Amino acid sequence: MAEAIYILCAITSIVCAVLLLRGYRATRTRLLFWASLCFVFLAINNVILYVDLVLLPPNYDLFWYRNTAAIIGMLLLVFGLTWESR
Amino acid sequence: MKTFMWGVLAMSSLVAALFFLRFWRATRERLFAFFSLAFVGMAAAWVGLAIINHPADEAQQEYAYIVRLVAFVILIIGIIDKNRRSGRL
Amino acid sequence: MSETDDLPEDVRALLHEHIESYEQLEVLLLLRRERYEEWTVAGLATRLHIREELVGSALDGLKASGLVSTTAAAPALRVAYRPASSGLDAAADRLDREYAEHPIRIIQLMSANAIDRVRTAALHTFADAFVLKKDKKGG
Repeated sequence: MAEAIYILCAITSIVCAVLLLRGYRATRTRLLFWASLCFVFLAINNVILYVDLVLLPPNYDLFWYRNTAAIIGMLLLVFGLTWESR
Repeated sequence: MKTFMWGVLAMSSLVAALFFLRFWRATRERLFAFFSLAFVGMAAAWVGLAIINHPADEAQQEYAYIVRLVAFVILIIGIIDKNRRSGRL
Repeated sequence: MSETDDLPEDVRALLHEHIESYEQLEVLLLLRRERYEEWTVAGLATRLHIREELVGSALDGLKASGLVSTTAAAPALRVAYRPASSGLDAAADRLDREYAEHPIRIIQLMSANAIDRVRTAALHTFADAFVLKKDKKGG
Protein backbone atom coordinates (compact mmCIF):
# COMPACT_ATOMS: atom_id res chain seq x y z
CA MET A 1 0.00 0.00 0.00
CA ALA A 2 2.73 2.44 0.96
CA GLU A 3 4.76 1.54 -2.09
CA ALA A 4 1.78 2.21 -4.31
CA ILE A 5 1.36 5.67 -2.83
CA TYR A 6 5.01 6.58 -3.23
CA ILE A 7 5.28 5.33 -6.79
CA LEU A 8 2.07 7.14 -7.68
CA CYS A 9 3.39 10.33 -6.14
CA ALA A 10 6.51 9.97 -8.23
CA ILE A 11 4.56 9.26 -11.41
CA THR A 12 1.99 12.02 -11.01
CA SER A 13 4.62 14.58 -10.07
CA ILE A 14 6.61 13.64 -13.19
CA VAL A 15 3.46 13.96 -15.30
CA CYS A 16 2.82 17.43 -13.88
CA ALA A 17 6.42 18.46 -14.49
CA VAL A 18 6.28 17.22 -18.09
CA LEU A 19 2.99 19.01 -18.77
CA LEU A 20 4.36 22.26 -17.41
CA LEU A 21 7.63 21.93 -19.29
CA ARG A 22 5.69 21.35 -22.51
CA GLY A 23 3.70 24.45 -21.77
CA TYR A 24 6.86 26.45 -21.20
CA ARG A 25 8.46 25.16 -24.38
CA ALA A 26 5.36 26.13 -26.32
CA THR A 27 4.96 29.65 -24.99
CA ARG A 28 8.13 30.72 -23.14
CA THR A 29 6.15 32.77 -20.62
CA ARG A 30 8.00 33.79 -17.46
CA LEU A 31 5.32 32.43 -15.16
CA LEU A 32 5.56 29.02 -16.76
CA PHE A 33 9.33 29.11 -16.43
CA TRP A 34 9.13 29.33 -12.65
CA ALA A 35 6.18 26.98 -12.36
CA SER A 36 7.76 24.26 -14.46
CA LEU A 37 11.04 24.58 -12.56
CA CYS A 38 9.10 24.17 -9.33
CA PHE A 39 7.43 21.01 -10.51
CA VAL A 40 10.68 19.59 -11.83
CA PHE A 41 12.10 19.90 -8.32
CA LEU A 42 8.91 18.50 -6.81
CA ALA A 43 9.20 15.56 -9.20
CA ILE A 44 12.80 15.07 -8.10
CA ASN A 45 11.55 15.22 -4.51
CA ASN A 46 8.99 12.49 -5.14
CA VAL A 47 11.30 10.26 -7.15
CA ILE A 48 13.88 10.38 -4.37
CA LEU A 49 11.00 9.73 -1.95
CA TYR A 50 10.19 6.51 -3.76
CA VAL A 51 13.85 5.49 -3.95
CA ASP A 52 14.36 6.36 -0.29
CA LEU A 53 11.33 4.69 1.23
CA VAL A 54 10.83 1.75 -1.11
CA LEU A 55 14.05 0.81 -2.87
CA LEU A 56 16.76 1.61 -0.37
CA PRO A 57 17.36 -0.32 2.86
CA PRO A 58 16.43 1.48 6.11
CA ASN A 59 19.99 2.40 7.02
CA TYR A 60 20.05 4.85 4.12
CA ASP A 61 18.15 8.04 4.65
CA LEU A 62 17.68 10.48 1.84
CA PHE A 63 15.31 12.66 3.85
CA TRP A 64 17.31 15.89 3.51
CA TYR A 65 18.16 15.29 -0.13
CA ARG A 66 14.56 14.98 -1.17
CA ASN A 67 13.30 17.79 0.97
CA THR A 68 16.01 20.16 -0.17
CA ALA A 69 14.76 19.55 -3.69
CA ALA A 70 11.22 20.39 -2.57
CA ILE A 71 12.35 23.55 -0.81
CA ILE A 72 14.31 24.74 -3.84
CA GLY A 73 11.29 24.11 -6.04
CA MET A 74 8.83 25.92 -3.79
CA LEU A 75 11.13 28.88 -3.18
CA LEU A 76 11.72 29.25 -6.92
CA LEU A 77 7.97 29.27 -7.48
CA VAL A 78 7.25 31.84 -4.79
CA PHE A 79 10.10 33.99 -6.03
CA GLY A 80 8.83 33.73 -9.58
CA LEU A 81 5.23 34.49 -8.66
CA THR A 82 6.22 37.53 -6.63
CA TRP A 83 8.77 38.82 -9.10
CA GLU A 84 6.52 38.46 -12.11
CA SER A 85 3.51 40.11 -10.49
CA ARG A 86 2.97 43.77 -11.07
CA MET B 1 14.80 21.48 12.22
CA LYS B 2 12.46 19.17 10.33
CA THR B 3 9.40 20.97 11.61
CA PHE B 4 10.85 24.28 10.51
CA MET B 5 11.48 22.86 7.06
CA TRP B 6 7.93 21.55 6.78
CA GLY B 7 6.75 24.96 7.90
CA VAL B 8 8.71 26.64 5.09
CA LEU B 9 7.27 24.19 2.57
CA ALA B 10 3.71 24.59 3.83
CA MET B 11 3.94 28.36 3.93
CA SER B 12 5.42 28.75 0.46
CA SER B 13 2.79 26.36 -0.85
CA LEU B 14 0.03 28.44 0.71
CA VAL B 15 1.49 31.60 -0.75
CA ALA B 16 1.51 29.96 -4.18
CA ALA B 17 -2.09 28.87 -3.65
CA LEU B 18 -3.04 32.48 -2.84
CA PHE B 19 -1.35 33.75 -5.99
CA PHE B 20 -3.25 31.25 -8.10
CA LEU B 21 -6.45 32.19 -6.31
CA ARG B 22 -5.82 35.80 -7.34
CA PHE B 23 -5.13 34.71 -10.91
CA TRP B 24 -8.41 32.80 -10.92
CA ARG B 25 -10.33 35.86 -9.78
CA ALA B 26 -8.63 38.03 -12.37
CA THR B 27 -9.16 35.76 -15.35
CA ARG B 28 -12.07 33.47 -14.48
CA GLU B 29 -9.81 30.74 -15.80
CA ARG B 30 -10.74 27.55 -14.00
CA LEU B 31 -7.27 26.07 -14.38
CA PHE B 32 -5.99 28.53 -11.79
CA ALA B 33 -8.54 27.29 -9.31
CA PHE B 34 -7.18 23.78 -9.81
CA PHE B 35 -3.62 25.04 -9.31
CA SER B 36 -4.69 26.79 -6.13
CA LEU B 37 -6.40 23.69 -4.78
CA ALA B 38 -3.39 21.55 -5.63
CA PHE B 39 -1.07 23.82 -3.67
CA VAL B 40 -3.45 23.92 -0.73
CA GLY B 41 -3.34 20.13 -0.80
CA MET B 42 0.45 20.10 -0.85
CA ALA B 43 0.54 22.53 2.05
CA ALA B 44 -1.86 20.29 3.97
CA ALA B 45 0.33 17.26 3.30
CA TRP B 46 3.43 19.03 4.65
CA VAL B 47 1.53 20.25 7.68
CA GLY B 48 0.36 16.68 8.19
CA LEU B 49 3.91 15.40 8.07
CA ALA B 50 4.97 18.05 10.56
CA ILE B 51 2.22 17.03 12.95
CA ILE B 52 2.96 13.34 12.65
CA ASN B 53 6.74 13.97 12.71
CA HIS B 54 7.61 10.40 13.43
CA PRO B 55 9.56 8.62 10.72
CA ALA B 56 8.89 5.31 12.39
CA ASP B 57 5.16 5.87 12.20
CA GLU B 58 4.85 4.70 8.62
CA ALA B 59 1.15 4.03 8.67
CA GLN B 60 0.24 7.56 9.67
CA GLN B 61 2.75 9.06 7.27
CA GLU B 62 0.98 7.39 4.39
CA TYR B 63 -2.08 9.57 4.90
CA ALA B 64 0.00 12.69 4.41
CA TYR B 65 1.41 11.29 1.19
CA ILE B 66 -2.05 10.32 0.00
CA VAL B 67 -3.03 13.99 0.38
CA ARG B 68 0.01 14.94 -1.70
CA LEU B 69 -0.97 12.40 -4.34
CA VAL B 70 -4.47 13.86 -4.43
CA ALA B 71 -2.95 17.31 -4.94
CA PHE B 72 -1.04 16.17 -8.03
CA VAL B 73 -4.11 14.38 -9.34
CA ILE B 74 -6.18 17.53 -8.88
CA LEU B 75 -3.67 19.43 -10.98
CA ILE B 76 -3.73 16.79 -13.71
CA ILE B 77 -7.53 16.86 -13.69
CA GLY B 78 -7.37 20.63 -14.03
CA ILE B 79 -5.16 20.36 -17.09
CA ILE B 80 -7.44 17.73 -18.62
CA ASP B 81 -10.39 20.00 -17.88
CA LYS B 82 -8.65 22.87 -19.63
CA ASN B 83 -8.10 20.71 -22.68
CA ARG B 84 -11.71 19.54 -22.67
CA ARG B 85 -13.06 23.05 -22.62
CA SER B 86 -10.64 24.20 -25.31
CA GLY B 87 -12.06 21.57 -27.59
CA ARG B 88 -8.99 19.40 -27.86
CA LEU B 89 -10.44 16.30 -26.18
CA MET C 1 -15.42 54.61 -11.64
CA SER C 2 -18.68 54.49 -9.75
CA GLU C 3 -20.56 55.85 -12.76
CA THR C 4 -19.94 52.63 -14.65
CA ASP C 5 -21.52 50.66 -11.83
CA ASP C 6 -24.86 52.01 -12.96
CA LEU C 7 -24.60 50.12 -16.20
CA PRO C 8 -26.73 46.98 -16.40
CA GLU C 9 -24.96 43.71 -15.73
CA ASP C 10 -25.50 42.19 -19.15
CA VAL C 11 -24.14 45.29 -20.88
CA ARG C 12 -21.01 45.14 -18.74
CA ALA C 13 -20.63 41.44 -19.52
CA LEU C 14 -21.14 42.04 -23.22
CA LEU C 15 -18.49 44.77 -23.23
CA HIS C 16 -16.08 42.76 -21.12
CA GLU C 17 -16.33 39.57 -23.09
CA HIS C 18 -17.16 40.53 -26.66
CA ILE C 19 -16.35 44.16 -27.42
CA GLU C 20 -12.62 44.77 -27.57
CA SER C 21 -12.42 47.89 -29.67
CA TYR C 22 -14.24 51.05 -30.57
CA GLU C 23 -14.56 49.70 -34.12
CA GLN C 24 -16.31 46.59 -32.88
CA LEU C 25 -18.76 48.72 -30.93
CA GLU C 26 -19.60 50.90 -33.91
CA VAL C 27 -19.87 47.98 -36.34
CA LEU C 28 -22.05 46.00 -33.97
CA LEU C 29 -24.43 48.86 -33.27
CA LEU C 30 -24.77 49.73 -36.95
CA LEU C 31 -25.37 46.12 -37.99
CA ARG C 32 -27.93 45.84 -35.26
CA ARG C 33 -29.80 48.98 -36.16
CA GLU C 34 -29.89 47.89 -39.80
CA ARG C 35 -30.31 44.22 -39.04
CA TYR C 36 -32.46 43.40 -42.04
CA GLU C 37 -29.69 44.47 -44.37
CA GLU C 38 -26.64 42.49 -45.36
CA TRP C 39 -23.47 44.51 -45.44
CA THR C 40 -20.20 44.27 -47.27
CA VAL C 41 -16.96 45.17 -45.55
CA ALA C 42 -16.49 48.08 -47.95
CA GLY C 43 -20.01 49.29 -47.27
CA LEU C 44 -19.44 49.28 -43.53
CA ALA C 45 -16.09 51.00 -43.92
CA THR C 46 -17.61 53.78 -45.98
CA ARG C 47 -20.63 54.26 -43.74
CA LEU C 48 -18.64 54.33 -40.50
CA HIS C 49 -15.55 56.11 -41.86
CA ILE C 50 -13.35 53.31 -40.58
CA ARG C 51 -10.56 51.63 -42.56
CA GLU C 52 -11.54 48.35 -44.15
CA GLU C 53 -8.84 46.33 -42.33
CA LEU C 54 -10.21 47.54 -39.00
CA VAL C 55 -13.74 46.67 -40.05
CA GLY C 56 -12.52 43.23 -41.11
CA SER C 57 -10.83 42.44 -37.83
CA ALA C 58 -13.78 43.88 -35.90
CA LEU C 59 -16.08 41.53 -37.81
CA ASP C 60 -13.84 38.55 -37.05
CA GLY C 61 -14.21 39.22 -33.34
CA LEU C 62 -17.95 39.79 -33.57
CA LYS C 63 -18.41 36.58 -35.55
CA ALA C 64 -16.43 34.63 -32.94
CA SER C 65 -18.64 36.11 -30.24
CA GLY C 66 -21.80 34.93 -31.94
CA LEU C 67 -23.15 38.40 -32.68
CA VAL C 68 -22.61 38.61 -36.41
CA SER C 69 -22.80 35.99 -39.16
CA THR C 70 -21.65 35.75 -42.73
CA THR C 71 -24.72 35.72 -44.96
CA ALA C 72 -22.94 35.44 -48.28
CA ALA C 73 -19.51 33.90 -48.77
CA ALA C 74 -16.40 35.47 -50.33
CA PRO C 75 -15.61 37.01 -52.75
CA ALA C 76 -18.88 38.92 -52.36
CA LEU C 77 -18.72 38.66 -48.58
CA ARG C 78 -21.73 39.95 -46.70
CA VAL C 79 -22.47 40.00 -43.01
CA ALA C 80 -25.47 40.74 -40.86
CA TYR C 81 -26.43 40.99 -37.22
CA ARG C 82 -27.32 37.47 -36.12
CA PRO C 83 -27.11 37.12 -32.33
CA ALA C 84 -26.56 33.59 -31.13
CA SER C 85 -29.00 34.01 -28.26
CA SER C 86 -31.82 36.26 -27.14
CA GLY C 87 -29.70 37.18 -24.14
CA LEU C 88 -27.00 38.57 -26.40
CA ASP C 89 -29.63 40.45 -28.38
CA ALA C 90 -31.13 41.95 -25.24
CA ALA C 91 -27.69 42.97 -24.01
CA ALA C 92 -26.86 44.55 -27.37
CA ASP C 93 -30.16 46.38 -27.29
CA ARG C 94 -29.41 47.82 -23.87
CA LEU C 95 -25.89 48.64 -24.94
CA ASP C 96 -27.28 50.62 -27.86
CA ARG C 97 -29.52 52.66 -25.58
CA GLU C 98 -26.85 53.14 -22.93
CA TYR C 99 -24.36 54.28 -25.55
CA ALA C 100 -26.86 56.79 -26.84
CA GLU C 101 -27.55 58.16 -23.36
CA HIS C 102 -24.18 57.81 -21.64
CA PRO C 103 -21.47 57.37 -24.25
CA ILE C 104 -18.72 58.47 -21.85
CA ARG C 105 -19.56 55.68 -19.43
CA ILE C 106 -19.35 53.09 -22.16
CA ILE C 107 -16.01 54.41 -23.39
CA GLN C 108 -14.67 54.49 -19.83
CA LEU C 109 -15.67 50.89 -19.24
CA MET C 110 -14.11 49.83 -22.53
CA SER C 111 -10.82 51.50 -21.53
CA ALA C 112 -10.88 49.74 -18.18
CA ASN C 113 -11.57 46.44 -19.90
CA ALA C 114 -8.69 47.04 -22.29
CA ILE C 115 -6.28 47.66 -19.40
CA ASP C 116 -7.65 44.55 -17.72
CA ARG C 117 -7.04 42.49 -20.84
CA VAL C 118 -3.40 43.55 -21.06
CA ARG C 119 -2.84 42.70 -17.41
CA THR C 120 -4.38 39.29 -17.72
CA ALA C 121 -2.93 38.51 -21.14
CA ALA C 122 0.12 36.88 -19.61
CA LEU C 123 -2.11 34.78 -17.36
CA HIS C 124 -4.29 33.69 -20.25
CA THR C 125 -1.16 32.70 -22.16
CA PHE C 126 -0.13 30.64 -19.14
CA ALA C 127 -3.48 28.88 -19.08
CA ASP C 128 -3.59 28.37 -22.83
CA ALA C 129 -0.13 26.81 -22.74
CA PHE C 130 -1.66 23.71 -21.23
CA VAL C 131 -3.83 23.00 -24.23
CA LEU C 132 -2.00 20.08 -25.79
CA LYS C 133 -1.75 20.85 -29.44
CA LYS C 134 -0.70 18.37 -32.05
CA ASP C 135 2.95 19.36 -32.41
CA LYS C 136 4.07 19.77 -35.98
CA LYS C 137 7.56 18.90 -34.83
CA GLY C 138 6.20 15.86 -33.05
CA GLY C 139 7.53 16.99 -29.63
